[in-house]
Amino acid sequence: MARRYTPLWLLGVPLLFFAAFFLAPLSVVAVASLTQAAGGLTFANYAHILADRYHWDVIAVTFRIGLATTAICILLGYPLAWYLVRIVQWPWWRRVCVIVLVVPLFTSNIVRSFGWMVMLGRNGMVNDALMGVGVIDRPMRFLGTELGILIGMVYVLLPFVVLAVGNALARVDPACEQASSDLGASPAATFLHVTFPLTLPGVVAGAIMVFTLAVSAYVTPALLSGGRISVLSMLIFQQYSSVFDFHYGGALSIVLLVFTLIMVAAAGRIGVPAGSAR
Amino acid sequence: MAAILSIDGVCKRFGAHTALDRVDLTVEQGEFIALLGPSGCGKTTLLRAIAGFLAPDAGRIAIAGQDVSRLPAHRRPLNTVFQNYALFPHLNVLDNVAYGPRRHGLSKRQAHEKARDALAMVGLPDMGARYPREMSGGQQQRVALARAIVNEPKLLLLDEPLSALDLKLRRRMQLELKHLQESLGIAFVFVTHDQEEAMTMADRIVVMHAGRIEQIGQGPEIYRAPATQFVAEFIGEANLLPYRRVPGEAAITLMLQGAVFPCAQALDAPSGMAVLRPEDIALSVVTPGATPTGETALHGVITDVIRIGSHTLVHVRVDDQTLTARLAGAAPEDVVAGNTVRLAFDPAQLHLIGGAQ
Repeated sequence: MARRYTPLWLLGVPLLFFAAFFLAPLSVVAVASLTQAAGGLTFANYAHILADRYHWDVIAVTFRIGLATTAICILLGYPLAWYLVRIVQWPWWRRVCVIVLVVPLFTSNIVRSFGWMVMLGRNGMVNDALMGVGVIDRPMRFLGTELGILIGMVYVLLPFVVLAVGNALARVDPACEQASSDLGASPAATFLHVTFPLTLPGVVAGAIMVFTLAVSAYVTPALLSGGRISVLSMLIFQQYSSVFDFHYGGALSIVLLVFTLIMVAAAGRIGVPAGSAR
Repeated sequence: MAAILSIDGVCKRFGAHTALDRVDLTVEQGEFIALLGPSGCGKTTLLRAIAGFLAPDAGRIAIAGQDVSRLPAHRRPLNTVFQNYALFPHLNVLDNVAYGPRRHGLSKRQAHEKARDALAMVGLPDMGARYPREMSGGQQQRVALARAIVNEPKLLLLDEPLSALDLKLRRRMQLELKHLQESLGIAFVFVTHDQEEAMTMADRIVVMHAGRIEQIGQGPEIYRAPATQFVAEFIGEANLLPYRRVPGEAAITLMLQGAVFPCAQALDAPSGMAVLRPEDIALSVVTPGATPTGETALHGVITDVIRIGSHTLVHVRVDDQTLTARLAGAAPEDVVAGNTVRLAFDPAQLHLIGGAQ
């Protein structure tokens, strides 16, 4: 008796969990986006969004910041992961580095973003330092610029790339790199033709994490934009929290989701190494 | 023939462990050399030092007369077949093999052409589009071989390339490798812990132990005349009998039962170990009650009779030492545990290692 139902249980419980926590909320949003306050099916919300230039601008800003954050995180994160995995010799120093990298993730995003507001302000440490070195002679404006948001985002999301790439780097078979140099490849050629391709899945995994978190981030852009720049998540928040238009807000959410999925799907294709079973 | 590889006084230490201790070795053009020894003897360390993956603490390595001691691995004119093949998982077989030629500046088309030739040479002509993970161990092994010979190196290093294969396939690959080496004329340096493998393939065997070369020689020579006690015990089975030279005579006294044997081998050391191979012993059962006759033989009691397929091993207790005799085929009926036997052998078969303990 019990055995007959085991497969049902094994399948049913995760399915139920998935339905309750992922499918149901998403359906609520999707249904809301396709209906009006008065009831009845409509595409008016989407038409409103896609016909309006302002929304396209916000979408562009959102994805520009998302892509730039991803690119910078990879450019900074790859060497950092290399340092941690390949260069650090003492295990305790590596552990310290990883802790320093991960500990900020345990602090509230709001606190960290406020920290950056202080640092990036007119009289903040960053401006003081830049002026002290003589790079600039008047304080730069960071708050309320895309650069400011970018700095905050990279800081928050960098650990994801370092951990994903570090993991991939640690798994590269050293014999493969030795084989490459044995076959006459210089260290640079070995990196280009063997090490980097073998870590590409890790890079793509990190990039997808950073990108999805960056385009959906609310706290960091909201605090660092100073009200001058809007990203999609801020529009969505407005609709839900002050305008109370769940239909319009839902449509915005679905638009963000669809655009993000398109980008992730494209990235996923790069990440699959040729000839893998996937 | 010119020396393709010469190694002079190479030393390598890892902390307190001496991995290589003043190793000297010369490999001639087109020669097949086996580095043979138990794990941890330094054979793989030596191979890695030749390939350039680790820097020796002292000594000099030259390839075709050029000192490569300071050259990084990618500038050395040799190629390596790695133990676990180390094929590039993200490249298909053709690109794996074409990797070397590509790095040497050939166009993609030329490199692929060379790669196809090399794959045909190792018996995998139509596998180029496959990926390493889609192939069996034996096929991956051939790809690794093709990738290593496609660059036409002067010297090929092989790090236990057959150890992951099953026995039958390994035997076949041993012969194929030997034939390939003969047709290519490339010098092979082959690391193995399997003495049979070394005997099958190598022109000369280098027996290593504890970071030192114990003996260099052809297979039969190493078996017949081991230079040290380690070699005698490591290569094949050996009975080691302590002996003392009889002063003023061309004869030795075996400590066992005080038997005296004539000895033609010139020896300086007053004592040492005599090596007696199990197949050189002739057994004959002594009838109970009869007094043992013949001074130039040993007598003992059989403790074990072990039948191993084509031959039989007989363990005989002589004083406090157990000797092993090897009989072709099955043992006679009266060769059973408990019986007293006479162990006869031609004293000329004794190989003496002077000074050994």
